[in-house]
Amino acid sequence: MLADSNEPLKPLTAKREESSTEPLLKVEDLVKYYPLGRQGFFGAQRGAIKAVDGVSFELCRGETLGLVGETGCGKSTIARTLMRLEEPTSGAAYFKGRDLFALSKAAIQALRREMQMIFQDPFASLNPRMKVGQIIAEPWVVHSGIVPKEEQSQQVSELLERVGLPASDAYRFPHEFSGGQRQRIGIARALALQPDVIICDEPVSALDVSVQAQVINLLAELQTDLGLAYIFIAHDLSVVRHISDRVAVMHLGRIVEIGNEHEIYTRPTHPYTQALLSAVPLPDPEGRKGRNRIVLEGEMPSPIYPPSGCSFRTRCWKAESICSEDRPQLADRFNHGHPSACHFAEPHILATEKMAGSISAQTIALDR
Amino acid sequence: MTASDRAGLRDLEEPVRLITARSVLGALLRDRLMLFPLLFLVVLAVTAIGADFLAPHDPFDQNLRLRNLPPMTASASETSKFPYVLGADPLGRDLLSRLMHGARVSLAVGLSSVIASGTIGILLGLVAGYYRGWLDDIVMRGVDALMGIPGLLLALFILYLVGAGFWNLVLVFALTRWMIYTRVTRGMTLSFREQPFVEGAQTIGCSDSRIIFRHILPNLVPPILVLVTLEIAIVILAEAGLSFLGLGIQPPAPSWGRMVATGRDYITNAWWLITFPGLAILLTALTLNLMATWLRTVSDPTQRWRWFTGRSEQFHDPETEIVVPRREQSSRGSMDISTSPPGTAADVHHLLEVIDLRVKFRTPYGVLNAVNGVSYTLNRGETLAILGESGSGKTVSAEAVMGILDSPPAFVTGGSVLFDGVDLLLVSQSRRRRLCGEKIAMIFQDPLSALNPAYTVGSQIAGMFQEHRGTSKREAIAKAIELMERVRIPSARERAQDYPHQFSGGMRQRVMIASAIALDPDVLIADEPTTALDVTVQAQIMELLAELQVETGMGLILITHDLGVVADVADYVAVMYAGKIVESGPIAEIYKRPAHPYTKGLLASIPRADQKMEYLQPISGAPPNLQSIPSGCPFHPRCAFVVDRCFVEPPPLYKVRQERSSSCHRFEDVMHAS
Ligand SMILES: Nc1ncnc2c1ncn2[C@@H]1O[C@H](COP(=O)(O)OP(=O)(O)O)[C@@H](O)[C@H]1O
Ligand code: SF4
Ligand code: SF4
Ligand SMILES: [Mg+2]
Repeated sequence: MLADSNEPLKPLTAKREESSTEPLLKVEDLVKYYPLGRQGFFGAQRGAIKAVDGVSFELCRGETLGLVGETGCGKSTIARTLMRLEEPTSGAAYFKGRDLFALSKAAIQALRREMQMIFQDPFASLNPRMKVGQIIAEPWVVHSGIVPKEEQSQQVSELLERVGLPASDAYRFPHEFSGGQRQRIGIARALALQPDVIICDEPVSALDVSVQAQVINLLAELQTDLGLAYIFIAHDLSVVRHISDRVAVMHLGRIVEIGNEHEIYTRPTHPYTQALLSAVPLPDPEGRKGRNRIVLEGEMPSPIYPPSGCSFRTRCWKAESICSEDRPQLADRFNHGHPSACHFAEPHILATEKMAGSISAQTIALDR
Repeated sequence: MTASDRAGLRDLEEPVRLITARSVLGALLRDRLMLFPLLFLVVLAVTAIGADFLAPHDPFDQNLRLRNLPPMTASASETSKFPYVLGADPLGRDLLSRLMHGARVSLAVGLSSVIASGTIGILLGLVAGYYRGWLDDIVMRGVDALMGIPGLLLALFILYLVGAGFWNLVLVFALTRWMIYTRVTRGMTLSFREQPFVEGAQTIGCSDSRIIFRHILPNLVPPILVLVTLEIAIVILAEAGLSFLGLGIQPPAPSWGRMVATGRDYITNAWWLITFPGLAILLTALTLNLMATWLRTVSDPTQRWRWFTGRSEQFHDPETEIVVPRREQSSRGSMDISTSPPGTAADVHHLLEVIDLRVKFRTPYGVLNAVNGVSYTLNRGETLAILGESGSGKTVSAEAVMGILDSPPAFVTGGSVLFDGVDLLLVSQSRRRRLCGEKIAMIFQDPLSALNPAYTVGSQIAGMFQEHRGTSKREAIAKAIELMERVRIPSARERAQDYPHQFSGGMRQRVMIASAIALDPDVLIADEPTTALDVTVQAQIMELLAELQVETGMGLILITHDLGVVADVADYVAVMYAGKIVESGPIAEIYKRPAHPYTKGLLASIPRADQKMEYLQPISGAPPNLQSIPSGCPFHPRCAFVVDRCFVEPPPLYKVRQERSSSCHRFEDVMHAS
């Protein structure tokens, strides 16, 4: 553990030092393959699941980057490699200028203070044998010198109250709480080390609908008060839109479109983003007749054998021969400030005869 | 966060926070089954420790005049004034005293051996399970190798090498029993290391040893304790076995095993010699076995309360004693109260009409009121969405309609289900089964568990025709393939030969749909058909269902928690909360102007993909525990409109206007509130 990392905690409400232009986290060409089966001796390997296949993005102080895409597209794997729960296959990630993947074990421990994670399953992510107070205080036991022992219970109470639970809950066991309350406890633990970044992997998907908003609001409130940056992973595009400043759309281990929330949701240029957005059900029974919806045919290709060229081409209604030969680069083709990886990217979907043959509905209303 | 937030959900597993001598004693007095074993163990422990003072005679004191003295024979020995209560052994030593000293020896062998083998075994299991890889390989090879050799043979071999004796015995047991712990510990460590809470510990920077000993090990305590207690008994018995062969504790030291071995030779003329030590071994083993189950409960903080509150024993509920799926209701409510929601005037003939359906679950820990009066109607070609959170009773009410509830624990305690005018709850079981396969079909959230993994999907769909229509196998298969094409499964002919696990989630749901529509049902109940699927696949499935509905004119009941999905497809919606329909009516009207605070709250609390919302207005609190549904209006602890009468007076289903109803005393205020 680095000595300099153990300065005492600032009060919980304190704002962080002013943001510089330098991004807090910079991920460059991150790759994570899971080898299939047992690796024998030379050449016996049977290929690999290409869970993350060259992902780059930046995260600034105090901002929320939403990560969306279908199940298995690599969202969680990114979170897990950034948290060093998995070793990356290649690539780099600079956190405040230091390469996360090149750090020594001790330096990683110190870094844990600044990057934390909230998990999807509120029922499995708290140790059933520890009391809530012990769970929240554990980071201070591990990183000694941050909060002296005699102040820990005071700090635990403050954290509990910060996430909307009474201080007396410190003496209860996790199984005594509902899903939403457990997620609050998970948030309190993540806050204990006063991180700069919290990676939230589907933090509300396991919660009851009527409880999701409570947790979403809490996350937003904490961000404003503490200047946190979030990487917010979710498959629910409505939740992501609500909480994110910027959004990255992933398909088969790659980012296919990235930009600020407004750009992605009102002017998507990648066919995959357009299809995803048009498929989201809206709580608007009257508007449903006017909605045109792109219903993709077929299924997501296997991450073991991704298609050549553009990985979306097997489901894309705009695919041409170039799409199977040449992988489209992530580029800002319209100077909208949000790059997308499609040879035929365009902010509107134009009804063509070709499309009429391959998809059920052709147009997407922009700026509904 | 309000106080009511917490009030609702904690009472299910209200913990015993203070474990006092009094609460332990109270629980023990209630649980006689545990009281006696515990007392026995205490006596045993005291005897073993204090044998020197407690034993009436010197266990080594031979008196050849008293050889094989029968029990209860008062005998004036010259060394002691005590009688020989259990008699004497062939060397004239007092049996009781030897038994008491034997307790010490046997328990010492048992405990020491278990501590030794347990420590080795658990450590190896933790390390193998946590680090996996080559460490795991080596350890597990060792385990497999040792498990392959009969333990007794190995023990004999080692004892032959090192000779008998207390510590050698412990060594033998350590070497021959550690694998038992390793196997259990490793398996559980493997699964625990994947748990999010272990990963959470990693993310805050816990060291490996802290994770192993602080996070994983405590979770293994209950099963390990069970194992340890059982192993003590096994070791005591095994020592007896070795003593038989002369390899146990060496004479003259008294061990129970040794005593049984000696007693065997005199079994015909001095029965007490083998009976009493045998009984001691038997009782100890039995006691330890009883302890094992008990320890599992009390060493687990999530289970402990059960023992302390004695709820599992005492639960008894008169309410579920009345199990009447009979129609004895004419209590259809008073004048302005509608019991026939979406749909219409009561005299119209509906395809499906559910009236005041009630279902309870009888569980060991109390009665669960899962469905508390659900009514709705469905007509041909209509889509009715049942909207509610998890646990609100959507699935249970649908399964009650289908007649596929497992009873027990579920009991339909009231109501009727009219299909084409016939009450399904009153017809014979066989007629019902036929109706529900053919006329009413259902698909589930998790098609994998609804499909049989052992048969190809083609033969499963074909089975519908063979079973209900008596179609020949060949023809049925042809029809199955036709259906698979109809639900747009690519290369249907080939895929019909595949097994369910070879399909993706979306395709599996199509298979389910194919088999559900096989017999042209009039009603299709779809229970969260797309919840486990991605939006892209969800859109495909919903589109398919809509098309099929247009083609066949069937009525569709769509069960979901997703307000968006409901808005996209439903004609009518029924909102469920705590086992009740709280609001129902045409979808557009309800979304525009909800008449129940819960619906209103839900609509205000969900984010939307088509607009950036500034702020979500959450509903406070959490859904209630169905074992203790709040009094009056079940929503009152969370309601923004709550008034005094809501605490006591359950709101009936008020008729809001044509086709609309709401179960809220203040529905008018709710509708007119901005
Ligand atoms: N430990 C693992 N071993 C093998 N494959 C894995 C493992 N973890 C994830 N994967 C695979 O990696 C791909 C991406 O998974 P994941 O990152 O979980 O995606 P998402 O979060 O978008 O659901 C999937 O194909 C998944 O099956
Ligand atoms: S590159 Fe081609 S296949 Fe890929 S999204 Fe664009 S048009 Fe479709
Ligand atoms: S009856 Fe009372 S508590 Fe229930 S929903 Fe209406 S206002 Fe709220
Ligand atoms: Mg995931």
